[in-house]
This record gives sequence, structure tokens and C-alpha cells, in this order.
Amino acid sequence: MLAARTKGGIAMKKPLLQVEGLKKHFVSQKGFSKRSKQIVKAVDGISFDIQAGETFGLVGESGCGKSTTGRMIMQMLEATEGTVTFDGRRMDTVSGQELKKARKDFQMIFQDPYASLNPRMTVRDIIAEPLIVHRLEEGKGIDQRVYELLDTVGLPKKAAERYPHEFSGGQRQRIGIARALAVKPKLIIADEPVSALDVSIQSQVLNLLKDLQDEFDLTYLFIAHDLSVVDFISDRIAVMYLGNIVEIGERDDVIQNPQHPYTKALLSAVPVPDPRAKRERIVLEGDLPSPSNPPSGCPFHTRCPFAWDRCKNEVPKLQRGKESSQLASCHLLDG
Amino acid sequence: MSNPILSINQMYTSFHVDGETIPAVEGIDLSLYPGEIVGLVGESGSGKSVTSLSVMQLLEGTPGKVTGGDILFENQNLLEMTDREKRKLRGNDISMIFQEPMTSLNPVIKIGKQLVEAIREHQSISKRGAEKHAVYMLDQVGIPRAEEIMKEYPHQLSGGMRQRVMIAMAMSCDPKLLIADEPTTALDVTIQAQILDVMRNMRDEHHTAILFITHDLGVIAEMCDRVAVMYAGRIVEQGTVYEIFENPKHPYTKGLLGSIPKIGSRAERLDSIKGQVPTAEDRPKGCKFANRCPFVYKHCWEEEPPLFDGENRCWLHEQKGESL
Amino acid sequence: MAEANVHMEEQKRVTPFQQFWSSFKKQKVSFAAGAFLLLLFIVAIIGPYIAPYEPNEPDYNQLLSGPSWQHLAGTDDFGRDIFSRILHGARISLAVGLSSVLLGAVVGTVFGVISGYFGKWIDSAIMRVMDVLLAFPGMLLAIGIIAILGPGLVNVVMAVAIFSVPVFARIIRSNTLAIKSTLYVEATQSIGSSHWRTIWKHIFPGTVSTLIVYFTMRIGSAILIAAGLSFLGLGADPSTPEWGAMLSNGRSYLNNAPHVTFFPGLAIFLTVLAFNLLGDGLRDALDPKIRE
Repeated sequence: MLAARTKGGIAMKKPLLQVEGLKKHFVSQKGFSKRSKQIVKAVDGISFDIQAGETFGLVGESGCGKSTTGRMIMQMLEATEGTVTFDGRRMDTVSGQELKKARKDFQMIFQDPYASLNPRMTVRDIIAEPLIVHRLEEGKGIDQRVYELLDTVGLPKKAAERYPHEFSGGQRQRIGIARALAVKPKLIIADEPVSALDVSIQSQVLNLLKDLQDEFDLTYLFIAHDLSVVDFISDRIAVMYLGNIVEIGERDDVIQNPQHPYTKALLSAVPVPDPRAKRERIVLEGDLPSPSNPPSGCPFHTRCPFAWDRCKNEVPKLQRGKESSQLASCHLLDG
Repeated sequence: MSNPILSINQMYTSFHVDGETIPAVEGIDLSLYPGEIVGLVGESGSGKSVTSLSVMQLLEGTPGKVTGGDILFENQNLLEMTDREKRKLRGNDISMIFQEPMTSLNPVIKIGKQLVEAIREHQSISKRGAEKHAVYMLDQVGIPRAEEIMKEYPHQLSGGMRQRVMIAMAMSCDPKLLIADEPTTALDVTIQAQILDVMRNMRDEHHTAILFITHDLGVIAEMCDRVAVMYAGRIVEQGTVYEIFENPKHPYTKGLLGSIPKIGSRAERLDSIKGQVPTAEDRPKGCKFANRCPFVYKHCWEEEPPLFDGENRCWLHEQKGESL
Repeated sequence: MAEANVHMEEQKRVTPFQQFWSSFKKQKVSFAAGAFLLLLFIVAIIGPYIAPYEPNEPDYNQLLSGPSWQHLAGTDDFGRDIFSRILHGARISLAVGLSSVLLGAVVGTVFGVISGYFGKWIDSAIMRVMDVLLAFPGMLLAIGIIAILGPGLVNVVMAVAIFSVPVFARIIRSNTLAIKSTLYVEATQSIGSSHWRTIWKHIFPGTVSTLIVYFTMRIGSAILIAAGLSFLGLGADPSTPEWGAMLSNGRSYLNNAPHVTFFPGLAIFLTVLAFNLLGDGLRDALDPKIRE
């Protein structure tokens, strides 16, 4: 519903992924008798579309619900409410068998390249697993495809016989990427794929992800906390805060002309590698409120330097400002 | 300029594992002057954290040992001090903050008590006085409701709050030198910005020298006066923050700067350094960067470059004034 | 394509087994225990062929005679050669120990994996039954089972197996829980792997090292329990050269012919000790936390 209007107002073809009103509320029981229930609103009703071939960046600080969103789209976590439509099919209601088949089309790259590879399997077995699960190749064909994939991600053939612990973090992330590519997916959900890597390795992997996108017509949902990385790789960006999307739009609009005070604060807090850079920092007061006890009204009002009475009482809706083309949820845009 | 408060001269640190000696830091020189923030930047495996542990003399109980050189704090050699003298120095004149504050705070003791004990260990002051000072310090690092926080346990605080408590504890004795090892790496950017502000204020108000260790070049650019770039156990380049960021001389520094995405640059691709950081065992013979360097030539493989002009280790700068 | 400059030097490669072997070799005591057990296995196989006497051949001229060159470990009250009986008994004791623990381990592992992997009510149901089994002292449980099944070596195997089940079920369950929460299991499920595949390719291989260690350690106690049951007359027929039965047999002559109990006792002691030491060494060598 949002993306359809973003590119010059012309209705585009059906999006590859549609997320509508997605919510995840965790119920945790507290106390010895487990009588007092606490509801943690990890994701509290978010909607966005991703067009085929684009990179959609989901950015936010820890605890904002971005990873939970990724896992709900992957159908590894059941949504409390809302729908996930992939390629025109509702993923949240399909049968187990159908879902298994559909999984071929969306794959995930994980943050931790150390923990996401089984230490007891060789690289060959790791990359071959999706091929075997989806019966895409058999016998010699599997080896062929594994070598092909290793080459694609820039690893030598002989890597196939080795175990994950013989590789550095960057190399392991390449193995994880090869595994995700094995089934020729349409969508790749990358959850903080470079945040565990050193800077010089991070740039290699980011470049690789861009190259792969061109080569295989991939669509990315790129989840990260690092705004400069998200800015580099994304076509469109959504900024999350406390389970809500507070701003969403084309990358350049969001980065160059942020509308939501939180986006502004986030951008101003990113350290710039230029000692002469002028910093007009918006320093946010205090910490992130607990998602089990979110503030009333606008979720950001407790830390917002511009908050007034209305923010405490009324939840702002995503809307377009006068001088911007992206959407942001802030009462200031009314005026 | 006045005398350096800390000077590290030709320090070597190595680890002994299974009868093998693995060099971590191989001959670094670094000085810090009062009131100065010096950044030590490098990737994992560069030896930057080992350097900070060596200076703090915190390698005991690990297989690591400073095997050469000296570490002078106000002209006293830390390596020749007795344990008692070192303990007195740590916490009084030198403090340290780490990446994960939870591991440095005792989980079963209230914040206030830990602060008071830290203060009283190094100052003869009444319990009441120490409590007052603790509240003042918490206030100084921007902790709201300091009196209440004193009565809480570490797990009740957020990561950013805990790091502030650590800074308050580190600053409570008004140290002359603060060593901060990736103090904001585990924190969100908005919290990081707050903590960096606190640390800058500390320097401005107390004239504390800070050795700031991080992998984040953005943080370095914001915080530091001078920068030392570490690679494979050496300082490959050092200079003022402007020299390093605006006119880097070593190919590694250049590569590192090109690797980071800059907000709003709309770049299509990032520069990157090929290959991986070599492990301590398979560092190349000559220049340690030879296997990843785009400008490598024969000489680089044969002999390790010395520190030219006290600034950078690259054969391309053998003749003074030559630039890339 | 991309930056394919990932250099991988030809360094000496270490397979997981080589890594295990080199760290196991360093544990001198367990290594010796392993060697001893290897010898015992050989004895169990060829024992009957190298034994100087038939195990049930009486020599009425040498009743209860002490160790001598003729009878290395002396003779018992029927004049049977104790050394030969111990050699024969090695096969019985090892067979009982191995088969009972194997049975217990297989059943326990299946329960543990199912319990840990599927959780919910299956987990509660299985684990409550295991708790009940664990609540009995091992020996008492074994006696109870024998009381139901009747005496005999096969039933001893069953009894010991049953009381090994909860031990394996518990440890494998906690292992399964730990592995189930790892990112690589999440990764395989995101690919679309079935439960069966996840269990067989990811969960089970992760429990193998624990299984080996516990398996080894349990054999020791299984042999001990089996011997104990035979000692009580609930296991092997008194005429069988089973170590526990031999102990029981010598009990009446403890004062004037201690060797009748001493040598079978020594055999039990050394075997159980060796299994435990081997288990300790295997644990240290296989524990990934120590190995890292």
C-alpha cells in the first residue's frame, strides 16, 4: 500500500513482499506463582511492501523489533496479528508442506557467521543442505553446484572439504551467503549480515551482496542497526522504534531530509569519519522505554525534544509532510 | 609540550600456548600527553586490546606476557613495579573501562556500595563522604536519579547506564590516565553519543588523558586528537586526527578509510582491502601488510619497513616527502 | 567474481578426529586405562582359548588352595582354577555391561531427543516417567525389575538397561535443548529442513560426544550393578564364572581363603576404574569448551 505510490506516484506491479499490520506480542509470566502476566509488544503493527529487485533497509536500535520482524516474515516465528504475502500468496496461512516448498523462494543470511554454521559439518554439506532438502540436485550435480556457489561468493573449490572453524568471520559469512543462494531464492532476508565483521571485511561483503543482487535479480530485506551501512545498500529505508515504523521512504529522502525527530536524532548520532564534520547533535535524553510498558500516545514522546501534550495522548499516523515525499509518524507534520 | 604522562617504548607482548610463542604486539612506541585523547584503531587481531591490557598490567593469569620494552607512567617503569605499587597506581592514577560493563561490575552488590568501596580503596575518606562523592560522580556522568541508582543492582540498569556507572567509577578517583577499550561498541548509537559526550567532558574538565581503543573510525574522528593505526601487532601509522583522515600515508589506513560507508555519499561501491587479517602465526615476513597491499613490490616482501619520520611504516615513504 | 582474493594457505589441516586424538593422547592415565580395556576386550574374545583350565573343571586335590605357579590365582571351594574363571568371566561381564548400556543408551537417547526437541506435553510426559525411575536407588530398581522378570543374566541386562535409560534421557535432553536453540538449527529450519532431518543431521551428531563419554562411564557402573545382582544370587547361575557370582561364592571363605574373593574383586575394581578413567579422559578430549 505504501510502496505502490512511492515511485513517482505511478502504480507499480504487485510487490514481491507485502507486510500488513504485523504484530508480535510476547507474553511473559512474572513472579513465583506466574500470576502477573506481562505483554511485551516487540512488533506493534507494521506495514510495508518490497518491490522485486529492490533493497529495503530496516533500521533501528536494539530492541526496536527489526529482527523479530525478519523472523516473522521468514515464518520462523508466528505473528500475533497481521499478514505476510509473498509473491501473491499468504504465507501465514499456507499448510506446512506448501510453506516448505515456498521457502525455496526466500532465504536468510544471519548475523553471526560463527553460530549459524553447524561446526560438525563440512562446508560442502552446509551448502548442499538446501539442495538436498528441496531435491534440486542429485549425486554429482550437488558437487557441481556447490563448487559453482563457492566460486560465486569468492571462495576456492578446496573450501568444500573444510569445517567452518577453519575460516575467518568474513569467509564464514560468504559460506552463509552461498547457502542462501543455493536454492536460487527471489528474496533474501539479511539480518545484520555485516555487523559482526571487521570494517575491511564488511566492505567486501557489502560489495559482494550488491554484485549478487545484480547478477541474480535478488530482492533484499536488509536489517541492520548501522545507518551508514543501510544507507549504502538500500533503495528504500524504514526506521523502527519500539515496534513501530516511524519513518519510511526512498533512501535519499529519509537520509537527506529526515522528518521524524527520532530519525533526525539517529542520523545526528552516527559518528562521521571526518574530524572536521560539523556536528549538530540532537542528544536524546534517557534510555529506550521498556517494550513491556510502552509509553502512551507517540512511542517516542518520552525522549523527543519536541514533544507536547498531544504526543502523550494521541498515536500519530504515518503521513506525508509538506516538504517531503516519505512518510513519517509525527504530529509535527500536521501543522 | 609538557612531559608525556604515558610512554610506551618498543613494547613486545607475546602469548605462550602449547609450548609455542605467538607474538601479539611486536615493538610499539606510543606516547600520551596530559589532557590528550589518543585513538588506537585496528581490526580484530591487530593487537590493540593486548596493548591496553599490557599497559594496565592485566595479563597476569593469561598466557600473555610483556617480553620487551618499557611502559613509563610519569617516568616510572610499570614493568619494574611491585604488585603493591601497581595496585595503588591502578584506580588512583590509571583507570580502565571495558566493552562489556556487566562483567566488570559485581552482580550481587548494589551500585552504591561498589562505588563507595572503589572510592575508599584509594582515598582516605569517610563512608558518608564517599557516598556523597559517588552520587556526585553519577550525576556528573549524566545519570538521572543518582540517589536511587545507588540502591540498585547492576542487572537493573540498561547497558548505557552500566557503562556510565563504570565511567563514574573510573573517574571517581580523578585518574590522570583513562584507558577505554571499545567502551561504546556494545551500545546503540544514540547511547554511544551520550557516552562520548561524557568522556569528552571528563577530558575538558579534569584534563584526563584518554587512550581510546576502538575499531570504529567514526568514533575516532569525533573523539581523538591523535591516532595510531595498528595492524598485525604494530603501529603502521600515527599522526594527528587531521593527518590520518585527510592525508593518510599508509596503504592500510587508506584502505580502512575507503572501506567505511559514509552516510549520504550515495556511493555505488566501497573500496575494500582484499583478503583477511593474517593470524599471528602467518604474518608475512617483510611488511606485514604485503599480502593485502595494492602497491606491494618486491622489497616489501623481503624486509619490514621501519617507522619513517616516526609516522608510518611503508617503503613508499622511504624518502621523506614522497607521497602516494 | 567479487573479491575472490580469499587466500587459503596450504597449512596442515587437522580433522576433528586428529584433534581429538592428539588431545586424548596427552591424558596419560586415561590412555593407560584405554589400553587396559583394549587388553580386556582381547581377553574377552580369546580368553577361553588361552585359559589354562576349563572353568568348571574341579580339582578335588586342590580345594581352596592359594595362588601358586600351577594355579595363578588359586582355586575355589570346588578346586576350580580362579584365573581361568576370571578369563572366562571377562567375556560375560563385558557383554553384560556393553549390551545393557547400549540398550539403555539407545532408548534413553531416543526419549531424550524427542523430549528436548518437541517439548510441550511430550517432554513433560517422558521426563516425569524418567524422574520416577531416577527416584529409586539404582540397585533397588534393578532388584525390583529382576523380581518381576525373574533371575538370569538376560534379565540382568534388561534391568541394568532400564535403570540406564533415565540417565541418558536426561543428559541427551539437555544437550538437545542447547543445540535446538543454536543459530545453525534455526538456519536449517529456515531452509525448510524437516524435523527428521534436523534431528538426524544436526541434533544427534551434536550429542555424540556426550553420548560416548556417558556410555563409557556407565559401562563401569553397569558391570558393578550386574556383579552386585549376581552376588545376591539374582543374576548369573552360581556355577557360571561371572565375577559377581564368584565373589558371592568366596564370601563364606573370606577368613581362610581370601584369594577366592580377592581376585574376582580385583577384576571388577580394575575394570570399573578403567572405564571411569577412560570416560574422564574422553570428556576432557571431546569437550569443545576445553578444546577451543
